[in-house]
Amino acid sequence: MVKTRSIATKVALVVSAVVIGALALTGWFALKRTDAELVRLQLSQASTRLTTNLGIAQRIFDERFPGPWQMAPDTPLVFSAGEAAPAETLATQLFKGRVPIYGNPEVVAALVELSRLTGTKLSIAQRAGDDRALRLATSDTATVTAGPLTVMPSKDPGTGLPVAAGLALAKGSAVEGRATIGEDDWTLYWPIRGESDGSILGVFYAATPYAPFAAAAVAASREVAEGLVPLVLAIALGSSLLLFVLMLGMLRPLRAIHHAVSRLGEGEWPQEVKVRSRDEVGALAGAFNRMAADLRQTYATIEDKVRLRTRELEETNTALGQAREAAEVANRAKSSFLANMSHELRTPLNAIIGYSEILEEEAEDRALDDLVPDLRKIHGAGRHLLQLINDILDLSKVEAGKMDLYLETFAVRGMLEDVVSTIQPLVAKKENALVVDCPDDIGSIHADMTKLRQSLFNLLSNASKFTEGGTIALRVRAEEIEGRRWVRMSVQDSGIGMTPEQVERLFQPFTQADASTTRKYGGTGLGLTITKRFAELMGGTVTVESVEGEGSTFTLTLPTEVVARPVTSDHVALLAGPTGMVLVIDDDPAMHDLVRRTLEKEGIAVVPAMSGEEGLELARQLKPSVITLDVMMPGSDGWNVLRTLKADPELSAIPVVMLTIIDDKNLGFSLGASEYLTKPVDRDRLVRVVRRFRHEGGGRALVIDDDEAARDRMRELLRAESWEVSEARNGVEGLEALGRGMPDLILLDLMMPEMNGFEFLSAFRGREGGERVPVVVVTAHDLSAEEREHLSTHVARVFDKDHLDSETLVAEMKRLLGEAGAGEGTA
Amino acid sequence: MKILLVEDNELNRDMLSRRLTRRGYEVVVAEDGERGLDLVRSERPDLVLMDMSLPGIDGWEATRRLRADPSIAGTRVIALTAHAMAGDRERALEAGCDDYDTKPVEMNRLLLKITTLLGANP
Repeated sequence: MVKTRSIATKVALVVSAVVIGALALTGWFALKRTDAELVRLQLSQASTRLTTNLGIAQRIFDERFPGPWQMAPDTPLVFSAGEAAPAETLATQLFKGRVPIYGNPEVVAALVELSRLTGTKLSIAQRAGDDRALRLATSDTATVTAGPLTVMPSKDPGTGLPVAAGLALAKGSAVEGRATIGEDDWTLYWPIRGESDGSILGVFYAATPYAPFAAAAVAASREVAEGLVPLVLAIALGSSLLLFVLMLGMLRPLRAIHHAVSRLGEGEWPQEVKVRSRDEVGALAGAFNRMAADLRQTYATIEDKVRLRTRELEETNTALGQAREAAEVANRAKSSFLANMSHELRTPLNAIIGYSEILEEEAEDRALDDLVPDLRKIHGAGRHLLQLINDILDLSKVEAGKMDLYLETFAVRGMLEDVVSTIQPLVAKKENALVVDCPDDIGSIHADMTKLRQSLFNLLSNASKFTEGGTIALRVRAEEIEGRRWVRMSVQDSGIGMTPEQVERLFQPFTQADASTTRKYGGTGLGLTITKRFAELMGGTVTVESVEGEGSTFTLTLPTEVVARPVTSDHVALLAGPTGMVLVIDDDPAMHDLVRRTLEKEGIAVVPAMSGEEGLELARQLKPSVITLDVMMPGSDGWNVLRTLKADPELSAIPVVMLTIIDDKNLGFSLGASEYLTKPVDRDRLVRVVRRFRHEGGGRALVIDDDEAARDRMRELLRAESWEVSEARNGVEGLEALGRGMPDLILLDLMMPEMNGFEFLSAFRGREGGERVPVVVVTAHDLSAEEREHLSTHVARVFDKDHLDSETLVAEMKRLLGEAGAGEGTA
Repeated sequence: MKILLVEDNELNRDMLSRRLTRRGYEVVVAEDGERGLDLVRSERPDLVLMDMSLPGIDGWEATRRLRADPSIAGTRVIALTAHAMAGDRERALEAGCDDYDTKPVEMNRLLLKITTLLGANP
């Protein structure tokens, strides 16, 4: 603000100075001009006056002294400043004449009078004989001039020259040395000519003083100047004021714009700058207004968006918080509901069971034997119902991590009969046939009977529910895997089966294959979840295989000797799966969870250990197939655990997979680790590694064959043996498939488009790691001796496609996998 | 042998008392903890079967008061609870019960506990 004001002031001052200067300059020039003009004017006046005076003098002279006097010029005389030349010229001419002029008192008197009358100094000079001009008479010096002046005669008697009539020239009376021309006068010299020949007899001169005119001119110009000063000052002041006002007017919009910009800079939104002028400032203001408006619009839009997003985010957060809270509340409510519900259901059920028992006793006492079987049925059904309710409570306990195992040793057969008699009515309901296949020597199992019974009951009831007029088979087998004994109980139905997606969701609580299933088939959806949880609690697994439309097979596998372990919600021990057991030593429970989820899908049981010490203890106790080991743990760290494991003769054979964030493979391998994986865990890789170190089951097989039917056959064959199968239609695709991970084994056809088996082999063997992977050729091609020879050095085995014995193939593959695994340095 | 059955549910009370009577015990019943304590003082039972979820003062509190009263502190108490949650047993023993059983009552199991505690058949 200060700046703009100072600019206005400065501009006004500068403009004022310029105006004043210009005016002064103009005034000065004007004055100068006026002075010169005044001089000219005065000269002009003086000459006019002189001319007039001379005219008067002429007439007077003519009257008094009739003669040929010609005092007045024919034309008005014009004086110029400093013009002395005529006098000189005249004087010179006069001096050249030899006519004496004489004065007399009358002439002098006449001159004085004329002087007085006209205000002009009049003199008459006569040409002296010595060529000097002598002033004979002068109006103001008449008194001091010597000798009388006489009017010159028209003709000098001595010379015969004509002289002015009545003028008597006094000889020798002329006064010398006074005939100078004053600087202050303008003097007119006038020749007096002889009447006869017109020669110059003398000179008459009239002087008019310069001083009065000059003084008058000076006074006049001073007056003009004095008159001009206030005018000039007034004009300067006025114009300055006007300019200042104008400048202010011009600066106001600029100031407004400046103000607006300042406010904008300070983050305020200024009002629109109101400038109505159509000049550049107006355009600037307009542009500024548009810019401000645009900016404001943009800013408002951004602010709106930010506000919107913030609100959305807040709402989402709130919603999430509420949802979480609601979920927690709902979960608590669910548990509480289940507990209460169980209690409320059990109270009347107690009465039913109790009274049926009383009645049974009474009936026996009173010999009412025909009533006893029915009373027993009531009693049995009540007991079973109670069992179901208890199991619901149990599930909520499992979910809450508060489930205990009541382990006892009991005969498997007895338990089976119990379950079968209970399930029989349900099986019969949909006209299904139940086939039980159990060896006589199945023996006993040490487990939680209630939970096992409930698990089997669930599987059978599930099968009954989804099968109509079909067969449900319960097969029980004893197995031995890795030195542990297992009981495998499978329930196979010929029901509706499930899609892979449905299988995926199968074991989630309160979820059935889909919502419509619940409506159609009823049930709580808890059965399979309970079964799975119970199986896991007892160190077993539940797996499912299903083909939509053909039926499902659920397999429950339990160790014959279930070991009780303290169980918490975040530390669920699974003592061994049927296809191997992995001990995870890691202090991060999330890691246990991740590994468990990853490996359980593969039928591999996962046992968690939270510290190195616990891990070592469990390793001695359980002899797992594979151990995964973290490095950074409280207490004994991973390196120590690894040293201890490798130093223990009983444990040193167990492959140890380092699973850690620390990338120090060299140390790991030097201490005896079999494999080194860094976190974050690549789950596929983990599965492959664990599978490789596990002796049972399949590995990763790559099937390269252009015949789709053949590929399908291989795939089914291998998948049934737990192989992971990838496929390729020719050698090129086969090489591409290698990029996604090196398989454990390759099944190769020979005759294929684009790149045949031979070409693939040579390309593959050239690859890094390619020489270690066994290749099995399966071909319908009749091999020449040469081809056979070539193949024998590059492939492990050649099978004839047309006469392929699947069992032999699988056995061979298993053998090769074992060799390859050993070859890779499995301890 | 006299048994006091403290149980608020009429059916359970009736049922259990009848079955115990059938087995030769003298049974007195109370429907809440307050009345139960009164009866312990007046009837001097050899054993109390104490339901834990009772109106008014519950089984745990009744047992604590029983133990706090020197005149009756020696009375045997078996807690009965429908809660099968882990820790119920510990809570009952903590309150001063001699033993613990769950409802619904498994008659033979309960009888075994009773005879064990009383050291004799009825």
